[in-house]
Amino acid sequence: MLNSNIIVIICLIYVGSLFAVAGLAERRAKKGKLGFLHSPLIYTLSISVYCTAWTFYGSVGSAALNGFEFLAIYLGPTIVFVGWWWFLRKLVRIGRTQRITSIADLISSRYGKSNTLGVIVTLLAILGSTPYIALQLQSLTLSFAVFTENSNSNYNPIITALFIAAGLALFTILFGTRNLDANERHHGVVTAIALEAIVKLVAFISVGIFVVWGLSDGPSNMLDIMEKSIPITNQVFSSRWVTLTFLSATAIICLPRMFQVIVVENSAEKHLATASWAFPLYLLLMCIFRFTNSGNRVKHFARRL
Amino acid sequence: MNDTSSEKRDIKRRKLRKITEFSAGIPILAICLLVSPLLNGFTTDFDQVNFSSVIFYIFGTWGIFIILAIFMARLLTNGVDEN
Repeated sequence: MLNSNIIVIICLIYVGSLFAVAGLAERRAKKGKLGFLHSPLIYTLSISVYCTAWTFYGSVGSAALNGFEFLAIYLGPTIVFVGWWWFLRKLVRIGRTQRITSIADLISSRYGKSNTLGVIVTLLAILGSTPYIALQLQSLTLSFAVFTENSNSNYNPIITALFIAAGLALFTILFGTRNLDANERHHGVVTAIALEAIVKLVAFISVGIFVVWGLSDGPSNMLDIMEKSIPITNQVFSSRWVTLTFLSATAIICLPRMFQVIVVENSAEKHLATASWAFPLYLLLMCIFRFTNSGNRVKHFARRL
Repeated sequence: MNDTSSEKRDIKRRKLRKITEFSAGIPILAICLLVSPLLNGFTTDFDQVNFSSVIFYIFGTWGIFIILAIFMARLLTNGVDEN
């Protein structure tokens, strides 16, 4: 088990590097040196904010408990993105012509930029997002608790969550809410998310490769293990599967953060064309080792660390 | 001279329309193959559920749609440029 102080230091270095990257990106953008900040790759990676802390815990747990069901959460966005020309492109175009800055702004602009409607939609978005943010904070606190459970230090989960929330708020104020101009992109936030997307992907694939080739004897052996440990019933592809796919397809557009990165932060329609295949590819790569990472062998190994 | 250029433009426009119409079929096909009761073919009989075949089907279909999306993205963006 790792020492809790080392974990705190690693977390601080990681968060510090995200702040530094965001700061550098903002500075470059202000000087007009957009370069790679204006690339479709950064745009696509920023959309990966769809894969939150829940992807690491909730979906791995879901794979262990409900088998294939979690895949529906990633297939919905895939369907939306492969059909980008018919929906997302139009949404981005409307966003640009109407100078949209949020989903509340989009809905209110349909009714003559009604302020009342904008306020109602904002309140609904806050009400809907609050439990979601709480879930994210809980998963971050739990992950910290898992790594420090056998150490001598006794961290209060509420204090940990408070520090994380304060850090997130500071990041949002510094690189997000300071600029609310419809024409101004938040290059700092987007670049930091893109970096995080790469870290997440590398982490997930590394664990997957380690489990498949390190803990078991290759893919065929792993498939045998999964067949025995992953629950699969004849109810998997039921109406629940359809509902989850539909919900996830709507979530990729309606979640405030997704609307922000897909519509508000888009600077060229061509970027959407790249994201139409690159984002589903990212999701596929994030899912491909999900079953292996959800197996009992990972838990056994984690206990030995 | 003007007739030839407008003819060329018409051909390009028709080509783009065909591509966009074809692109509408991709999400519809994805719904048919990934969300429809077709998937139940793998799990109707609990005793004969083959984990590997379900995995290969879902990820294989997913991969094919990604490849299709690459081609469509290229065709559609070229079409937009030409327009």
